[in-house]
Amino acid sequence: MSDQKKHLMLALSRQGFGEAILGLRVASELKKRGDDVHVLAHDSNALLLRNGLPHLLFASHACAFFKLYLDMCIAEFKPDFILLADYFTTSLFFEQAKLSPAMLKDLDIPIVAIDTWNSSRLPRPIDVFTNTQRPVALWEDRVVPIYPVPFLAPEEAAGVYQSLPEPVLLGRKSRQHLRSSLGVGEQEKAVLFCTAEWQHGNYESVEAIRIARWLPALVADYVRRLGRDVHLIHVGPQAYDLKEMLQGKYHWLPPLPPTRFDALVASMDLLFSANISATTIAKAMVSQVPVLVLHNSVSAQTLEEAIAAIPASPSHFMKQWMENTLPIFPFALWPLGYHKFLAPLLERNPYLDALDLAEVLDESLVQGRLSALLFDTAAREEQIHRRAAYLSAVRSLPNGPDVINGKPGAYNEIPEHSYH
Amino acid sequence: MKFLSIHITDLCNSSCRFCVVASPLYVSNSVDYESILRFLAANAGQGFEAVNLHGGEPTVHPMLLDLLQKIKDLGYPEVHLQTNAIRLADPLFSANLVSLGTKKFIVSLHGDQPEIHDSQTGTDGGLKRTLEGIRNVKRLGAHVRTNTVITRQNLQRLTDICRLACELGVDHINLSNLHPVGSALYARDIAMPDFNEVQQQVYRAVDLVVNSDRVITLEGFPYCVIRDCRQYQLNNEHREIRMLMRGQVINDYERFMSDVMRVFGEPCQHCRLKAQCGGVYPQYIEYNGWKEFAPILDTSSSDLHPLAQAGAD
Repeated sequence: MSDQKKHLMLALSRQGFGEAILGLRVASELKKRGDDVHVLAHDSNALLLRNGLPHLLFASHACAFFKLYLDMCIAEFKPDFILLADYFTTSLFFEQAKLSPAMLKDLDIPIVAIDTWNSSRLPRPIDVFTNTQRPVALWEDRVVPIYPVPFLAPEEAAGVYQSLPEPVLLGRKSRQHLRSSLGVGEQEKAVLFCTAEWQHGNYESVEAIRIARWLPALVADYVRRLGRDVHLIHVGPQAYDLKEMLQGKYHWLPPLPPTRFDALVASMDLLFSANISATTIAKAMVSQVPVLVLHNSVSAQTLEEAIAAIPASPSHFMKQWMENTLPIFPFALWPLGYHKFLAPLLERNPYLDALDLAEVLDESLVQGRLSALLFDTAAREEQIHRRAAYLSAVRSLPNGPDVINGKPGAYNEIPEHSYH
Repeated sequence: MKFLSIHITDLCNSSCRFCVVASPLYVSNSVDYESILRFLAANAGQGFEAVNLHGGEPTVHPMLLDLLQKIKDLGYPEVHLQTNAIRLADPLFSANLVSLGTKKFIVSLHGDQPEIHDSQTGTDGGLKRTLEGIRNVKRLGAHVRTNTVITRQNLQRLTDICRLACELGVDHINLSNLHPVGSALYARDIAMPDFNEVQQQVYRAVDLVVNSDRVITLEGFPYCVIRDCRQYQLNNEHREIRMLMRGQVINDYERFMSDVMRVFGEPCQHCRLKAQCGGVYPQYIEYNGWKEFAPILDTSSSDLHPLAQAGAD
């Protein structure tokens, strides 16, 4: 094999940017070392690709023609590798579009898959919503997985690589300009909450629709409790009806181009998330922004069950919220669930040391951590300090291209059996 | 008119919250001075009537006077400078710019009072210096066009801003629709008015300027949202603009704006003025949708503003 490689990256996720962001991070590192990367992507990822790598986009209505797009890219670009960004969403795309994975296998080109969740360690099927379980057919025999950290644990194992974004160094003046553009005063605080298309979906489950609809109101209420000087900045495909509740301190922004979004993250006082594996968390980590992640372990059909499962008597708002939302199901990725599914990956994962995690129904805990991370310098520094050890461990891992192209601890040659 | 348009620096001494190039987020300049000189040399003698310099703020560029001299040496007839005019408050500096061929100053004027202008531009005392700058270059005989980006903060003061410009002897007043890119991506929520809010204020401002015998133009508005004043659209005038922007050459800037930076939607499909209209910024649609738009089906002058009818062809 010659030193310079050609990689065709497939970014097929249709409902969020996270997977494509992981892929583009590797792609940009491959470019830096002289490799060539071409991207075939669903057009929902267009914002990420603008002014970036050469790419071909296809729309949802053209999914059935995917093979034609793929063949076109293969014929023109002649890749040495195909890079899936990522494994799970590519499999899901093929399944939903009723496409045969054989179209990739038959190409006889090594397939490297970014396996965001280390599929080999995960229980199947997945816990989705209340009890729906959706098996995803993965292609263990056809791909060579590589494992991005975060959100996986940093460990010395084949295929594990660091996937940290570049820190954004925002000067005081730029930070102030950005915040003032948002309407955040000099003495005020800004909390960022991001949503992806899949979090606004029309789900087949009524329970999922309820929690998808109501969680933002709970997030807003937690922010409201912090006082009039705290703004909630929401970046997502649709605005929520929270302006009145937050008396003008709710500001919605549609998805932003990557550099603008990264600058925004770096200018915030806190990232508030309900998605433990969100790529935005890593952006906040490297830019010294504290992170509080909400999850839910409570499963309750009735208000009585829910109240019995939480540590203290709920506030009036929380009681109403639970009534609106019931039945409540556990989630690590709001509103999908994935609580049991991701549990093995969170066990003994130092990723959790680099952020704060709180049960969404534990009002005292959420309110306390929010308040501390926003207003208590010592608490903010304590999280940043915990995070430093984690980031240092991540940075000691090989990078994506090393893993793909066969540097220490990686694949020197893609073994034949792994893709045939 | 055929002219070159050059982004000469990312840096600025203001920090406007609606800056389309996000100058306030730049801490260093990404523009290569030599590439500007090469662009000027390559286009010299090709019939360009003017060179329009902008940024950032071109007057903060340490090589500006040198650049003007080179433009003059290459035979370009005149220079237009897009500026916040803060540095023009220095009479000697203004005189140098004019003597080196700057014939038109396109000055950002976003308020008639410091609390409106300075708060939006992030300049303490900025309005005072801008007004002094305008007076200086007017005294030197230069043509001045003000540009006001319409925001929630200055919307109610639009006629007052135009009145101030007229009193200063400004030749031409341009009112711009806020383009929600750059810094304005973040400021949409607090700065970007709906077209429904803008329309009547624009009509009143147009009345005032037309009655004052000054030139008024409107920039970046879809025709249907200011339908009564559509004959004042800046893009009614044919302009051939070749732009150099951070190393990229845009050969036809007007076409780039309408093909790449703006979109048409369902309401536009039957509009009789679609071919003339530049469309709408997609970032506005992301925020507000298409509900305010309606096709113009009758293009006779009867649906124009009374003042417009008087002047209509």
